[in-house]
Amino acid sequence: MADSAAASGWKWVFKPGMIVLGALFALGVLVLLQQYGVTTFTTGKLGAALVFGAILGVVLGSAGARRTRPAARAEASQ
Amino acid sequence: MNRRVLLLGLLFAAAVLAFIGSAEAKMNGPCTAQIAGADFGTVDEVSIPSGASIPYSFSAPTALSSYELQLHYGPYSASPSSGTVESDQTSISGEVPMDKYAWLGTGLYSLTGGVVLADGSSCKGTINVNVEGNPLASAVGATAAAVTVGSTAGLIAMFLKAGAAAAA
Repeated sequence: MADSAAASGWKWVFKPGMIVLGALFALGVLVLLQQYGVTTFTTGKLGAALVFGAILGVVLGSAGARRTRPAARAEASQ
Repeated sequence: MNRRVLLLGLLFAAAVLAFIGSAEAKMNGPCTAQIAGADFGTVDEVSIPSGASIPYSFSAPTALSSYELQLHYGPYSASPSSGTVESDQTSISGEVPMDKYAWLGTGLYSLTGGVVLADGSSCKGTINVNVEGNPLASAVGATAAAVTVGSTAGLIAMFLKAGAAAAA
């Protein structure tokens, strides 16, 4: 799977800035959902939102980095 | 299989499940409790206007010893009403001053009510309280909206910046 991921130009990239922004995004959404009466704000949901946001940051960071790799861009253009 | 991918997938699934999970209102023990006219044991959610005081009452088959109401907001919890019962009362009532917690804004809150009986047994229940009002008019709601918009813009900018740097 790692080989197929590398062959497709995909590589996991952990950018601290993207991870923090992802966590902030998820936290903001959770608080907004609570403020609009959709869900309660519990410690468990806070932790889940931070994990969810951090993963979102990693995925977006990896997708952004893929665009920067010449091999991946060349493959995408073919 | 790439362990990192598997770990990310498992964390993602756990996060989504915990994110959407919601507790149901229940009352354990031989007591009955009401808040804003809603029974803890049968009603999951009760709506109140922003800043209003909420009337509550507890009753038990035997004498009460103490009672406590706890408001939960993430890792923060407050006790808006609590006390001890001196006589052989089997019921107690009062009001939760929600105006003290107006800084939390509007929305859905988990409120836990518990009583300890004179014989040592206890009852505990949880109900969701929906504080009505405009979320964007409160400091917490407005801050959350600003953080969400700002972080979304930041994520998009960082994503596009990487691509633009490579193309240059």
